[in-house]
Amino acid sequence: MDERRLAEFIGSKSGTAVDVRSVRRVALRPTRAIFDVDTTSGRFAVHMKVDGSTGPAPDTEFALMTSLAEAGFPVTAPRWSEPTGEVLGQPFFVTEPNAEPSVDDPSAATPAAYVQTLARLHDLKPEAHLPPVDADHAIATQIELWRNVGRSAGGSRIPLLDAAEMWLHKNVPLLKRTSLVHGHPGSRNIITSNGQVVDVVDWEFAHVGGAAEDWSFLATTASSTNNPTEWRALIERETGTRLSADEWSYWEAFNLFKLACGNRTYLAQFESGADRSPAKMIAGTAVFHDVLRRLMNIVPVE
Amino acid sequence: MAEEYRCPADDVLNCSTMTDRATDAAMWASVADTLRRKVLPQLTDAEARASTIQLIAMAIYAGRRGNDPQRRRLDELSNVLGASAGQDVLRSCIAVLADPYHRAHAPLRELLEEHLDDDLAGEVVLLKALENLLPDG
Repeated sequence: MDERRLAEFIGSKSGTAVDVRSVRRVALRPTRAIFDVDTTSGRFAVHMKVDGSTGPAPDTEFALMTSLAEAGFPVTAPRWSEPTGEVLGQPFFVTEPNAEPSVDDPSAATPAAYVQTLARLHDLKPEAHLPPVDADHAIATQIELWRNVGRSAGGSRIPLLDAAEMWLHKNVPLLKRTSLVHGHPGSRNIITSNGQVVDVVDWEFAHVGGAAEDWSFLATTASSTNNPTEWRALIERETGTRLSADEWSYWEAFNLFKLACGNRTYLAQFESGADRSPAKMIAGTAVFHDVLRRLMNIVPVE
Repeated sequence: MAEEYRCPADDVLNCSTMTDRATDAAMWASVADTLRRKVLPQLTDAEARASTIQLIAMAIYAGRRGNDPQRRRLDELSNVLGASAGQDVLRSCIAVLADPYHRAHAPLRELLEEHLDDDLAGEVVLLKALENLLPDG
């Protein structure tokens, strides 16, 4: 990263001369690289588009975070956006650092706080935060988006992943109501302090869709503090959500498909040298295969 | 013609299999063993320990995984597809998976899942490392 140009950008936006003391990449996801930046004006997080990646532009994520912050939703304070790519070679935006989790969380209170926070998100008017989407095509659009994320990694085709995609398209449930969906509401992305949610992070794949997508993600991937059955009972109790067994299965498959497509990009990042950590290699191979196995356990042989 | 090299009778090494190159498997085993015995015990930082455990798992996996099975698997898929195999076997697989009435539909799915399970069986060591579990062996 060109630290001088980043310092100039932050300085021009904040109206004061800024020096960058250090830059450390803290995450490399399918479409975003996140940097922890320490400057003479304080610490910031820089969210940059990954070169060659598909998916929503950083500016869209920035606008969403801005409108959520204005609505009083717990998100990291967004600061400035650079949508052109002229400053650092890729579009990016700057936020305050994510909130730090509290170490003395009463864990019993946390699952209910997760559910209440997501319910609050789902109750917001989606058109106030993201461009409108035709409900009839909302789910199919997301399947296509994730397919493209997976294919952006290159490599040979994975026929089982194609089979899962076809099954998801064929069995798209009727969406009675669209909601603002986070897309990855796992425990790493919902930060709590003393049992209260203080920050929800990682909005790159937020979209307008079915709230059940988030509920399923939470129930099947959120944390080991509750098992899926307990999560489902909690979600039903807190929100009145009622999903049939087939609907839970569909949304679990949908989320596994997203994870599989996302994990495909990790092997490409490892191979290209963008991230040579063993964790990235494992995520791109063993975890990818594990997720694909779980996905195929749901997708029936026709 | 050069005289054939003969092992000294008291040589404890098996000369018939020795070359002047260490095998990949032996080198990967050395990496895993050295990280496990010499490096890991010195580490107290949680992130460094986690990365080292993952690296040990990766070295064990790399040393054991053998040749790339892709060519053999494509042959197996072609056999199941029969006349439907075509030039691009993977693309043909996708077409057959899209057609539930194709005679190869179910056996193809079964074979693809077999390949997936074979991959996973070899990758257990990697998945355990993500849970911070030090691999055995």
